[in-house]
This record gives sequence, structure tokens and C-alpha cells, in this order.
Amino acid sequence: MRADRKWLVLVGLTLSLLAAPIVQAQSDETASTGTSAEGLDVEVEQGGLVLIQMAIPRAINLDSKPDTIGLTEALSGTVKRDLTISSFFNILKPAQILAKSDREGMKPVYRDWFNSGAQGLIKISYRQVGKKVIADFRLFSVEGSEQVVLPKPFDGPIRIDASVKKLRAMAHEFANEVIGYYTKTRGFFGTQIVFVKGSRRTKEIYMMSADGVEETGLTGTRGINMLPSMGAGRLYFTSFRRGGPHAFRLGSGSTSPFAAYPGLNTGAVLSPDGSSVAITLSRDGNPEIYLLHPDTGKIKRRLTRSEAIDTSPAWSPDGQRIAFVSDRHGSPQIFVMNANGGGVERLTFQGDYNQTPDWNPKSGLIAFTARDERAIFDIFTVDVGTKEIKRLTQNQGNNEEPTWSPDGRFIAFSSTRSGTAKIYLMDQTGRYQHKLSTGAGAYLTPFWVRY
Amino acid sequence: MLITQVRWILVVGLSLTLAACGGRPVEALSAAEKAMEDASLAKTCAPDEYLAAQKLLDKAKALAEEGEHARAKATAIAAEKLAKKAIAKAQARKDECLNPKTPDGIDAAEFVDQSGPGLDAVDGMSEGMQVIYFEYNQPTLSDEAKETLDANADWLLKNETVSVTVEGHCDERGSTEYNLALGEKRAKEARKYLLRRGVDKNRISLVSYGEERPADYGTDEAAHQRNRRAVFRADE
Repeated sequence: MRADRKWLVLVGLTLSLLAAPIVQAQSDETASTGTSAEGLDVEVEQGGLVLIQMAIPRAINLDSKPDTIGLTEALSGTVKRDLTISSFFNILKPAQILAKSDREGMKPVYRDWFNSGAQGLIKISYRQVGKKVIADFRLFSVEGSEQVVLPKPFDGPIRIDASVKKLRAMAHEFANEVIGYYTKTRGFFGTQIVFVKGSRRTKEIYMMSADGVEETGLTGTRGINMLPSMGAGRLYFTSFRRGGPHAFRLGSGSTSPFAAYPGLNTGAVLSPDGSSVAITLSRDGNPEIYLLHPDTGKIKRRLTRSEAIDTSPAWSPDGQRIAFVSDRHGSPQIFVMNANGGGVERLTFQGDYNQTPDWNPKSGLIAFTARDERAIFDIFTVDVGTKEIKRLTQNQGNNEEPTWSPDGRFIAFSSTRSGTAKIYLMDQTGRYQHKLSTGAGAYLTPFWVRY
Repeated sequence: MLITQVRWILVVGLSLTLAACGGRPVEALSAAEKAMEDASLAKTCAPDEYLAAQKLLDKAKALAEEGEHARAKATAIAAEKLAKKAIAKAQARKDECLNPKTPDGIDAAEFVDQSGPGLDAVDGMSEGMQVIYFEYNQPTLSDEAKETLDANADWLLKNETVSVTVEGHCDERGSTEYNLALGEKRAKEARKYLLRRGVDKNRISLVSYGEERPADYGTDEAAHQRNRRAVFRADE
């Protein structure tokens, strides 16, 4: 029996290797996994792309009544989309699967999944009880022929309000747990990205879920609204609705003016601790970076003093430093300073057009947009400590306005690779790239809500 | 594990011995049924154990029907045990199961602005004066731009009652925010020139539209050239 099983493992592994489109030779080390309480060791970032072969059959409806409100899609559809976007998995196609998921129910016939080439298996079942749905999310290690015990609430079925929104939220949580199990860091699903969607004459602020769906238009002025940012449940943006441009705050269904000093009031962004808003004001004659009170918009401190343009502040994760753009030496470059305006240091020396810094929430990497000698825009990172520059995008249209995911492993950005600008996602090496937005129109200046 | 197995053998063995002397195991069966009734929460919160217990109970009943009283009793006892295990597990995760903490997501609906169209939605540009153009990423005035500004200044000096807003614009390349700053620089250069030509400073206001209001929606260099501009709008 034991020997039998080993042989099966070998066959299964071979099959999964054959089935995987992107598995590199060094997967020998990482794919020979076995299950431990801490999950598998998957060297995703250093090595090549080693994808975990995952089967996610359609959620099983345990009721006799049909699913009329999209419960199946909200549950297994969401998990499948999340794990696909996450870049860590290869999701097996239905045609590859030999197992009969609906028939076997929540007790997998491991041999069938094994022979389908799956290393992991996600099974979800649900039934409706009144206005609730009892959903059961399970992760199985096919190689270990056992269910993986996940933390609460996923250690058994859970009762959730029967709304697509609530079910999707829980499905995102489950996907985050699964990603955490395999990669030791939870996923980012369930978070939001705010951005601008432009048509010819208008630009409006939108919000979407980080899996690229549930797009909601927030402003409807049919004017120009720009540069959204969000923190601590406060959404700031820039608009011409009263001239300016001025900074506004949006919440509870209404917009309130936030900063309307003479000249520019652009790009307000809340500090991680919520105590200050960094913003560009040109009330002194040219654009300078200021800190404002997050509620009143009153000036707390002026941070820069130069004759040049100083703009696009981005907070470090500890709130102690601010990256920004300045053309004080002739061309726009990335700088950092302390949050009190001292300790200014120039970070970029290559190129003559570096803009839109965004500070990784978990490290000292700053992503930014640079224009190269062909006048093409691409995304780079610069290490605050070593000033080492890395290029992440190339030869795929213009790529601009990077924003880090809350876990610091991904960057969302705006790209014209398919024509009109859309929001794409990539990992911090740039190897993995995925189109995130799904709608029409130009998608600009994404800002990933991180706190 | 070994101990449980031994225990299990003991239980079965004992039951067999007992059952050999008795008839239908009424007590064991009703105890198992009672346990299953108590396990209603487990049906939701520990379904694996619940279903397995249910299966055992069904089997015990079937065995009792067949007159296999000894095995029926042993199976019924096992069913009761498993049902109780299901109850314990369901109790332990009751809160998580019935009211799992929904993640504190952001509800987009709370941020939908209901205030309707803004003033800038009205597109009413009147151009009493001539437009000037700029080089890429430059706010400096070319000779041609200065000639146009001379003419605009003359017009303003003649039409003393008119106030003017100088709008700075950029092409679509570069970031939204930097271009707002650059557009302002362009508008300022133009205003500075008009002031030098003697136009009263109280008659000139500024606005930068950055790359937000292009004159030409094309994406080629010709369109970019037409968009890098300052526009002089006579205020009403």
C-alpha cells in the first residue's frame, strides 16, 4: 500500500509538471513539498516561477433549489479569480480534471485529483437557510491526501448573510488564508483601489475591489476629478469644481472642501498614523509640499523651500519620511526627506524625468515612473538605502503611476499596452504581469488603499 | 492512537459479550438517537462528524432489524460517541460558525458623492486673445510666444475693463500632478510678461489645468504641440 502510494505520488508529480505551462527546472527543490503545519516552502520570489497546481471546482450547491443570486460565482468564482491573480498558482482547467467534484461532495477521492495533476484542491459547498448561507470552504493537500487545517473561521462551515457582497468578502478572506498557507504571507484580496476613470471631457473618481471587479463610481460631477488617495476611511481627491484646483474630502455621500489655498492644492495623502495630510500647495508662488491637519485642512508645517516644483509626496510606511518629486536641479527627480522637511536626499540620478514615487509598505523600495531616452514611460524601483535602480516594465506601451499592494509584494499601475490606459498588476520583479481592470475608458492614477 | 484502538476493541468485545445474552439493544439505540437530536448545531457547524454519526446510527438500526443485536449495540454506542464528539466540536466553534467576523472592508457606497455636476463641468471657453505654445517640459517663452503676448498685452491695455484668466496647459505625457505644476509655471511666465508690458496685476488671474483639458485629443507630436499652451480667457 505504501509503495503504491509513493508510485502514485511520482506519477502525479510528473503529470503536474507536464500540465504546468510555466514550471522551471529548479522546481525539483520546491515542488518536493509534502505538508507541514507551516505550509509548503515555495520560493516564489527568488527562483523562477514555480506555480502550485491548484484545482478549484465549482462550489457545490447542497440545496435542491437552484442558485438564482449568483452564490456559486460569489464563492468559488471569487476564490478562483483571486488565486489566479495572486500569481502563485496554476489553476487547472475543467477539461484537465478527472475527478467528479459534485458527486464526491466534500470528501475528495484524492486519487482522481492526483491523476488530474492537482497538488492542492479547494472545495466549497453551500446551502441556504433562511436569509443566511452556510458555506464550507476547504483546502486539501492532494499530495498528502488530507485536509489542511486553516485558522478560524475556516476550520469548518460558517453562516454568512446571503448577499453576494458578504460572500465575496468571505471568499477573499479564504483566498488570503490559502495564499498565506502556501507563501507564508496572506494575500491582499478584499482591499480596495481608488483611481480615476477618464473620458474625453470628464474625469471621475472610482473605486474597485483589488480583484478588479465591483467597480463603483464615486464622483459624478461631469467635470475633472483627480489624484484620489485614501487612508483611515477618508478619501481625498483634487478637483476643479470650484476653480483651483482644490483638495476635497469625500465620505458619507457628500464632498467637503478640504484645502482651497490660492493656486494649486493637489494630491492630498494621509500619513500612516492619520495625523497629517501631505499635499502640494503653490500659495507661495511655486509648488511646495505641506503638512495639513487631516480634518480642518489647516497648515501644520511647510516642508520644502525651493524655487522649483516640489510635488507628489508619498509617505514611508513608518510615517517618518516622505518621498517626493522635485525639479530643483533642472529635471524632475525622486527625493526623500524627513517628515519635518529636514534630511533631504536625492535618490535618482539616471534619466531626466522621474516622477510619481510610491513607497513599499514593507520595505525600503520606492516604485516610480521614468521616461526613457525613447520618451517611453516605464516603472522602476529605487532602493532608499543603496539607491540601486531596477526596471520592472519594458516594451509594453507606457507604464505609469505605480502603487504598492498592502502586502508589499505587488504593484498596480496604469498601462497603455493594450491601447487605452488600463490598470495592471505585477509582482515586484516585474516578471508577472496581469490586467486587473475590466471596464471601458481610461484608467489612471491608481491608489491602493493600504491603511 | 494505540490506546484508543485498544479501548475500541475492548468496547466492541464487551458489547459483543453483553449482547450475546440480550435482545434488541433498545437503550443503546435510543441513547444514540437522543445524541443525534442534541446535535442539531453540529449539523451546521461540524457536518463531517454529524454525518458520520448519522451513518453509524442508520447502520445500527439496520443491524438491529437483521437481528444482529451485538453488532447493532456496538455500532449504536459508536454513533452516540461520535454524535457527542460532533456536539463538542460544534460548541467549540459556535461563534466562528454562526457569526464569523466579516472583514472590515471599505463600503464604496459610503463614498459615492451625491452633490451632482460641478461648475467645471460647464465648458464655456471664450478666447478673446491669442494662444501661446511651449516646448516639451518647458515653461520658458519662445520669441514667437513673446510676439503673441505683445499683441495680447496691447489688447488688454485697450480693453481696460476686461479681466483675464491665464490657463496653463500641458500635453498628456508625464504625471497628472507634475503637469498641474508645470501648467502653473507656464501660466505664471505668461502673466509675468503681461505685467512687464504694463497690464495691471489685479486684472490677471491664473489657473493650471495640467494635462486635463487638451485642445487636441490626438496622441501624436502634433497634438502634443497644440496642447502645450497658455490660453487667455476674458472673464465675464
